[in-house]
Amino acid sequence: MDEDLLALKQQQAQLARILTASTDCRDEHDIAVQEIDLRELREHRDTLIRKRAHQTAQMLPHVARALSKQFPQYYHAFAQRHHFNSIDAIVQDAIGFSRWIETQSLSIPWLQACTKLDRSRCQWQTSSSWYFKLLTLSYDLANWKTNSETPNKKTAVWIFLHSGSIQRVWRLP
Amino acid sequence: MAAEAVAAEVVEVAVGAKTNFANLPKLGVGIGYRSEYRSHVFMHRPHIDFLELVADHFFSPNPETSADLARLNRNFPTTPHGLALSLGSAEGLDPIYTNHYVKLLQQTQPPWCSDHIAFTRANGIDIGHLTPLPKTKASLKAIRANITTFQQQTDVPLILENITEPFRYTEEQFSDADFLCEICEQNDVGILLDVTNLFINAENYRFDPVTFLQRLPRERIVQLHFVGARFEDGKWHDSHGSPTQEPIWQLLTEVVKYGSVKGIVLERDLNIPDLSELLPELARARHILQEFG
Repeated sequence: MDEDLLALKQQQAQLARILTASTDCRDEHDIAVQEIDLRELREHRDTLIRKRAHQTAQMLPHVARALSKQFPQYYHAFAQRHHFNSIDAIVQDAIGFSRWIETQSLSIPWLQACTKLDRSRCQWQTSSSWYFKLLTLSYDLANWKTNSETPNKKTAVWIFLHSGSIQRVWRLP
Repeated sequence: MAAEAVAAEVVEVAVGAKTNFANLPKLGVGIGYRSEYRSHVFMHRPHIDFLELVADHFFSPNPETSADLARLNRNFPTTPHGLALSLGSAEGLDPIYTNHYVKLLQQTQPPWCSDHIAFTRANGIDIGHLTPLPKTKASLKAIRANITTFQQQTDVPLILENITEPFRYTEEQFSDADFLCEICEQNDVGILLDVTNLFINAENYRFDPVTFLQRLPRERIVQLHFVGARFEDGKWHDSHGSPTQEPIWQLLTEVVKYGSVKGIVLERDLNIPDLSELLPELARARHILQEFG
């Protein structure tokens, strides 16, 4: 690879890291090296955080509804309350759900593994298309057979189970 | 599926033939299709000449999206608009994303397809947003390599959209217009000129949008986007959530007078109103295209 293309590649990697950083910008020194206006970059990063928060707030109810159909033994009471539009309620229930999963003898190893991930993890990668992927996933989940193990379904459930972390990372209201 | 397998599966298309963008069909005035409008586009069919579909929405088809795609394609001319081809990525294209896009093109056979002059991905991280490129020779090299890769897999004409720039690089080798001209000069691509993005960049970075426009190769300006912008904290933002402001209408008229515009798309993503509320904007755009196009 050409030297200038390599430099561009490094700069893009650096920017990608900064723009998806979940906490206050840790790479301010790096930003200065890239000769990008620091104020503009901070504003842009904050805009992206707000955008992700909005997308999460829109998506979590879909995933929660889909899961409630898959795990009626846990979700029956929850589904009756019809409060999927409250992010707080969904997050609380996701925590409860993950604890419940850990106590069950379900033959879904990856689901068990999901619940054991570090819930305080503060990194989350997203994409502009994940919102749309999740719309599809919620449809898939609604038709999910419990022994199915596609990566997409894993992702959706992982997001749900870690919605507490996501809420914190993306500064949801 | 492994990336190598995906790449190998793609059919190679002969590269080298130049597209005559002036000969592309004139589609008229349409909207950026959103699922909220699933039934309304049919209710208002006489007012909508074509639909621009977000390509990414149809990459992982389930029975519902497949049926939607088939129904839309049967009833409207459609053009796919990609969000994350990431043509500016120095590390190259994502073969899986590219393969999805190419398959959609094979399935729908549109008159053209589009994506952005931007990067959205680097070093395994998906930024989730269109990120501006420095206007340098290195960026031109990256774009050229990626366009070549894409065009080896499809012969559907590709047009590229200008994005808003939330930040700028201090060391650049080209002006805004020269950078876009270079991209057109070096590649067989047309321009999807987002009039609102041009307005926003011109206002925020204080340049004359008409002077910018007149630098561009007019026969390459194939399609336009427009929508209202938002002014907040002393800057314009591309919120995609409000009616089009008068200065943007004026700029759109200038672009139609100058370019070889084949299609105009109202691109509303936020505060999505009833489709009937957008019809006056479509009618005004159609009047401009008919009178000056």
